[in-house]
Amino acid sequence: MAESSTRFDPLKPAGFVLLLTGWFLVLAALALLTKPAARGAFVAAGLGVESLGLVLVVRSHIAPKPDSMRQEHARPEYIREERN
Amino acid sequence: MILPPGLSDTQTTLCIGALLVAPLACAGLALINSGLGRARSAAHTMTAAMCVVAVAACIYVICGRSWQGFSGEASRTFLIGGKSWNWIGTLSPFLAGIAFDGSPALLAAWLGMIAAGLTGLIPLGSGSERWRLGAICTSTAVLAGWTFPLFAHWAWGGGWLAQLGANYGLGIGYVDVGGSGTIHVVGGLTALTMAWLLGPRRGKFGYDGMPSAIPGHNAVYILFGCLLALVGWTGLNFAGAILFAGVLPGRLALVAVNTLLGATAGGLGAAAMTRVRFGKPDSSLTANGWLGGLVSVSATCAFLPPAAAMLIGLAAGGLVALCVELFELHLDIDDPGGSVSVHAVAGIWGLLAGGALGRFPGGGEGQFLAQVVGVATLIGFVLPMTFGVNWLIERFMGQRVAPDAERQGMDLAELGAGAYPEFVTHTDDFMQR
Repeated sequence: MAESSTRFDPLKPAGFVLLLTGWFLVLAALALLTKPAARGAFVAAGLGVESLGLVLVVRSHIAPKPDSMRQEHARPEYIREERN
Repeated sequence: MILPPGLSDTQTTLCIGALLVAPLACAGLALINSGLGRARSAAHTMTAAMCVVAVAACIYVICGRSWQGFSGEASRTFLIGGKSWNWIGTLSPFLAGIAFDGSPALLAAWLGMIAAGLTGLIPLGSGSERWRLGAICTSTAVLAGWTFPLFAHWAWGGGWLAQLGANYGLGIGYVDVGGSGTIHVVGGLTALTMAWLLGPRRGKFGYDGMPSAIPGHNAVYILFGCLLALVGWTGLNFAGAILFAGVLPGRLALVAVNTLLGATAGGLGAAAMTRVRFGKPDSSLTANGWLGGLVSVSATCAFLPPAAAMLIGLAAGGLVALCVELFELHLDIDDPGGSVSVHAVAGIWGLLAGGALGRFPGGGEGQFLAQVVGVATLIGFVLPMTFGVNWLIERFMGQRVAPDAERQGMDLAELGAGAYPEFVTHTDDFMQR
């Protein structure tokens, strides 16, 4: 099984929630605002929230590097097998 | 953008001709994916590509087209602030109720079958050499039966994105005539999801986390696939421009010129970028740049001046070459086909750049914002949805092959025979890295 699917990282659901929140902000900008400048700013804010969510999701999928991890079990399963 | 009421006989004939060559885009992408993988998985990649196109076409006809619908056909809408938001088509399954007389709705359904197959082929590039055939078919069924048609309804079926112009004065609404977002970003984000869920190939990342190069087995397949894809892409862009933008026959030459310029400039951009970074142009990244150029100009190919198409393609080629390296080195994404960079990144770039540089009817005021809303929807809604769906498939049936099968090669493990039975097998293919 893939390493990413066996390790739970709370950043991942938080990132997806932020992605959806950013999208709702964009929809809200369309529905609630009429002035082009205000609408553009609100859409930009929504995109900013989405970017933050994307960063969290991407970071949650990066395998810990040896320098920062110290624990052998944080490496992908197949690497552990091969080292043994 | 909202569809014109009907098509002339010339438009219908040209659209049929374009749709006849459009499947060559699928053939090109399948060849590219196969060439970028190792020889021991070549037959599996091509078989999986055929299965993907088959499953996508059948599932799209069964239910996908019902959700996608077509402008002016039955759909669900609700009112927000006095504006109608069209969310999903509600047509009968199995193309029931459609008039088989060359109507735009029929041609759009035909285009949808091909587009669903092409969308399904994109994740195959990122998941190749470790993704089980059964799981590929299941994931494709969900993609072609739900994810793709839902977004296609919003962009192509008269949905709320297409209505942004009429409802909120944002240009002519979200424009994506050739499917940069609907096909490529949807497929590219699913490819990213699959790369995350499947994890890297055995031996891709070492103990220190550094990636090792696993070169493709056939550069000729890759580069010939690019040329085939150009023909198919031109057909798709022709058909999309006629069906979703009402482009008149005289303007179709511009679509063809822009498509060709996007591809060629993309290839040159990637060749130049790899020449600068590595000292020599890299053939597989040049091919990826070619495809990235095609993807990026598709969105607004009917509205771009040729110089803008060339600029967008050139930037897309360079961007793709950089992103392939970035994703592998810094984000631990093992994407053998470069699908995420080619389809998701170049698609998003094309949607935004096309919105800024295109010349749209009515002046195009607010057009860029409409494109931004489309991109925000792809990243903020489609990515979580496709991840959730594929995560569920992973939980219920498992998507990755067993470690021994991966070491042996997908051809022998899943199909029982290799693509090149008379080849001498390189022993290092079987060594553990």
